[in-house]
Amino acid sequence: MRNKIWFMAVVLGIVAFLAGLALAGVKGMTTPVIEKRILEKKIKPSLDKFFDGLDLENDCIEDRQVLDLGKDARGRKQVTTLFLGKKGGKAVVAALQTKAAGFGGDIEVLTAFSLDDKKILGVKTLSQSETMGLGARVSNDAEPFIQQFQGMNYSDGVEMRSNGGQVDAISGATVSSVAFTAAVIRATELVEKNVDSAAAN
Amino acid sequence: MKTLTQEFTKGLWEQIPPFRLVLGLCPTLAVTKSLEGGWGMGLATTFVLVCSNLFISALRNVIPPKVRIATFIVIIATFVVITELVMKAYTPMLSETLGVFIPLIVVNCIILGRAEAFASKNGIGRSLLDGFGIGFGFTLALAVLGALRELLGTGKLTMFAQANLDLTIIPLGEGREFLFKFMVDPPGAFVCLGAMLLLMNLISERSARSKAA
Amino acid sequence: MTEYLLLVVYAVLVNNILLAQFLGNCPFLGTSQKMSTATGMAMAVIFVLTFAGVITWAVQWYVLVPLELEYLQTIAFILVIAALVQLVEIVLQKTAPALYSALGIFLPLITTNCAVLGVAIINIKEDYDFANTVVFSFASAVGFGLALVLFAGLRERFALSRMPRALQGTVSGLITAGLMALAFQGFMKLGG
Repeated sequence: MRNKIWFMAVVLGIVAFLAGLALAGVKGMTTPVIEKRILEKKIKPSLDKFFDGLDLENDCIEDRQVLDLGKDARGRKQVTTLFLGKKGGKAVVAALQTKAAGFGGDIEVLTAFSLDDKKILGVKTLSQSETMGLGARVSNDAEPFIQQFQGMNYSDGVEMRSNGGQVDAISGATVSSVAFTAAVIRATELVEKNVDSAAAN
Repeated sequence: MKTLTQEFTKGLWEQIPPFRLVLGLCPTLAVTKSLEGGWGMGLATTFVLVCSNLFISALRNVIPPKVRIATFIVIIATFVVITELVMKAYTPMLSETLGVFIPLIVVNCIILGRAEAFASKNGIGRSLLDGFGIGFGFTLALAVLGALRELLGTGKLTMFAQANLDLTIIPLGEGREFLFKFMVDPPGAFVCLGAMLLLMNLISERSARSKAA
Repeated sequence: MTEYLLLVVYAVLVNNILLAQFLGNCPFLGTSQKMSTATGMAMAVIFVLTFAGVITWAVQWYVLVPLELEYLQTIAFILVIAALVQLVEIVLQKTAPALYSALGIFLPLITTNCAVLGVAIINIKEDYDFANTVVFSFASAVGFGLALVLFAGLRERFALSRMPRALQGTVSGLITAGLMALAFQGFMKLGG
């Protein structure tokens, strides 16, 4: 019986089915763990710093919303998480995670906004794989390039100085600086587009 | 027929991979830049080896001989993906250090080799012991190689980066670079593995000679 | 065009798959005793790796991504590669017996050559488009072939020389590979 074609197909089929089932189960178990770790280890410390002393009435990590950004050119689903901080039932601060392709891969940036006066509260690099000593300086919070975003007014948009804007690049790391700024610009656009509708609920 | 103890201990010297069983060289060379990479890869491989040995041995009378390799690969790949997902969730830094070599455990010839040569012919108990023995031997070899390369190449030992368990064995002045960086570069991997194998050959040669005398 | 040329130089010399990335080392040490075996293995790998790179790329972007099953990448790729190797074997046997008799015995070994699965995964990880995938897969395989054939040339000379018994075989192979890797490291400056 073990040499019959149908038997081979059945055995292989059952093994593959059980394998798929097991993997779906493990995937379902590990996804929330990964998500929770990123929120606690990467996002929370930055948000605590950006929103320090604001006495927000809600826990903006608890109340996070997932924004569907459609699909990218390759058909991958794109999502981002929006964190809103409220006071008197009204959203006053927001933070958003965006990314852009840098020199060595994607640069992921968390940008925090103050909504009333349309100011950037701060930016933080969540992950990057840029050149050591040059582009990788975006990871350093004390870097003047990172510091310059703090308090920047975004009502008229954010742009590199070479494009007539207000952002100065890290010298020698133009590609990384442009990518970082592109991620911040993307965050600005998303906040402008999504926050009013989000604040309503 | 080996006793059960021998089934386990053969993996630790007599057939220790990658020295005696010259298999699984890619991970051996690639991830042993640090002690952590060595034991991490060793344990991940052990887990996959033990689980696949268990399942293949349990199913050995059901699996049709003609599609056995395909079935083995599905079983092994399943455990590799489980390892991949679990490591990403619980040991993210180690998972990043090992990178592409975690999915590549699936083509580690040690695992398919043990499935074909041992687990598909032996009972569950023996297959488990074989898996643990060979797995621990591999882990031991990788950890020693990793420790040696890291110590000579950087003067440090990374136990577990996620928990900040790093030891600086040979302290350096501020801003000074270690001179023997060769050891952590790709060429050092080949030479260091070659030197360890040479040492093992010399030891067995000597013990064989003293036995003969 | 320059982009592709750079990718070829990068994959063949600067980041050689065998000597810098450590992919495919088992056949590297296993099939390098004789020049003829090494050439056969090199040709078989170039052939299969290029095909496998293209097909796994298609599987990733046309099957796994639309179905949101990216986590099944490893299992899907290894099955595709195993099936592809079987298929190539059957097709070659029927259509090109001469080529089959030259490459035949190496084909089954390629399923577990981690260079094949490794390059397939790197293609996806680096976000390569179709043209880049073809070029990178082919160039990586050529890099593998180049290192393997050079190495076999060296080892054939070793067979003629006297060597302490403990150094024979794998040990001298590994140390030679180390020296070759050192030579290839010189190309790193090419990458800037």
